Amino acid sequence: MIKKKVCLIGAYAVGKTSLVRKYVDGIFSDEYLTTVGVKIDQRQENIDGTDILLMVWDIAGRDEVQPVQKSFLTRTDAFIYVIDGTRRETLDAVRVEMAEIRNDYPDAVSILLANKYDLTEEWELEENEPAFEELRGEGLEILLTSAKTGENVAEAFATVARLAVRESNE
Amino acid sequence: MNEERSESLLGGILEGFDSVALEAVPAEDGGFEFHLLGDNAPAWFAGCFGSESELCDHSPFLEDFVLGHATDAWKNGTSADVKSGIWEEPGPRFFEARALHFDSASLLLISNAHEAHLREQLFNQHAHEEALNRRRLAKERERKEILLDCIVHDLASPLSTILMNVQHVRGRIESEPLRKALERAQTQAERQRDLIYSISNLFSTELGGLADIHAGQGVDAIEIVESLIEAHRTEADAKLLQFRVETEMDSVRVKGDREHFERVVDNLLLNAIQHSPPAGKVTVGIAPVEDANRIQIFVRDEGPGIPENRAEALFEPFSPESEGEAGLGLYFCKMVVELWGGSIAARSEPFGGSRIEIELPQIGENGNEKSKTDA
Ligand SMILES: Nc1nc2c(ncn2[C@@H]2O[C@H](COP(=O)(O)OP(=O)(O)O)[C@@H](O)[C@H]2O)c(=O)[nH]1
Ligand SMILES: [Mg+2]
Repeated sequence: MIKKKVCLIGAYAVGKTSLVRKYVDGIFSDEYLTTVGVKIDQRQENIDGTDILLMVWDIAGRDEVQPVQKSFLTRTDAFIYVIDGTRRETLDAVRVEMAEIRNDYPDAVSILLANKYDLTEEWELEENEPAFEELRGEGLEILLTSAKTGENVAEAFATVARLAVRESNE
Repeated sequence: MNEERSESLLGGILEGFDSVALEAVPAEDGGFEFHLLGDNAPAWFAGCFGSESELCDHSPFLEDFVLGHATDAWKNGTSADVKSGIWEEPGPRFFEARALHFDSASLLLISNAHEAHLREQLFNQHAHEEALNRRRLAKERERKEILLDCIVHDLASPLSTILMNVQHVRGRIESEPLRKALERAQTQAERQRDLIYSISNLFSTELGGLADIHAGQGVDAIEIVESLIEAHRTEADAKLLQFRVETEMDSVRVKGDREHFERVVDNLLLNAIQHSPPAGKVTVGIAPVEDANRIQIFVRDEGPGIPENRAEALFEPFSPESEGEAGLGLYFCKMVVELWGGSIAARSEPFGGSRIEIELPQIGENGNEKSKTDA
């Protein structure tokens, strides 16, 4: 079976672990437990009749004191960038990371998730977020997700799988 | 040293570090075969990784590490040493791996990283929670300030219109009593406008702005309490309320400036009037706090009282408990009183009703805060 390495990238507490948990186990918890290092989960997707196994790498988010451990990223097929829509600064941070990663892994595909979309009251991004328009213009797919309600979670991973398969068929 | 002895020493060292060491030998298929070094691997090895030949099938992380960075290190030769970083296996269990090239041997070292994980987890968890909390508080404050701005704006701008019109009409009125009445209305409206602006100044600059409240020579608490009770007589009469002042002192000076102290007392009285049942009694007490050179001023009503766990919330801005006065009245009291080195508290009375009490430093005849020695 085709295996694809998928890495989640984003600041701490944006919901990377929660998204994986929802996707793989169908569970959400309000509790926050900071991830240290990396944990790999897997789930199978079927894209147009082809089975593919997503190896999902949930990596400790970068924070003020430490960068993302770059050694985890080698041979990644797809990056899922995650931001927290209730913390605008996580968008700026991920764009910096995105620029570096695009440079180091030009062949990897990527999407961007604006997570915690259930928290509409605290949402800090605009309706037609200019930064999103710009990124979409560069060909990046962006989804609004909620690990809590499950909104767009399965779609996000299916999208990544589809992009990764398409890339490897080219 | 014979081979057997060095084997057993190696085993001891690995056990001490809670690690296993494997030699990686290139296999026909381009991958590697692994051979355990030392006699006995710790129990977790079989539990998490099966056997030496199944290593990569059991652990996607190790597979990735072996095929990536480890292979690079082994091919590179020259005493390479590459670390994997901490990763999690089901359990959860935590490990760290190292790829070494040493004396023409390719080595893979896997260590239990339980302790390292725990340490780092605790540290990061704390740091992240702190940062998130700080951010949440800052956002909360900003939201409240925006809200306050709105309130102030909505209160003040109609007043400007009222004032303009009152002035306009006043000049055209012949009747002396009517003109006098309008004059009174104008004075009150102006007073209210000034108050709104001073509230907005006060709150927009937060506590820093309050620091220059001039506490000067202090204020006569009894005189102010009595005059404010007079000022609220009409409202009280409308509800058939009785006021009672309980004190054994004729006059006493407490820390504070007149304008703000009046507003503190005013807020307490309004709060009591608001929560009193018809024909209820509002008691204001003023008494020294034993051994403290502080004066306690309390206002007691016969209203529904305060649920025990909500007493603190009363003093938060815009809390549902501190209704009326745009929800800012008691918050204001707390800010000001604490700035003067005093305190404020609320509780239910044993036989019903609630009691809000403030304590303020007493000011002596010399105009200074009283200390224990001149008591
Ligand atoms: N309301 C809401 N909370 C979320 C969502 N995703 C994550 N969280 C919460 O955000 C916190 C951080 O989530 P986590 O998955 O640990 O973030 P990570 O550090 O990026 O892995 C946790 O308290 C989660 O419960 C979401 O979609 N909606
Ligand atoms: Mg995490």
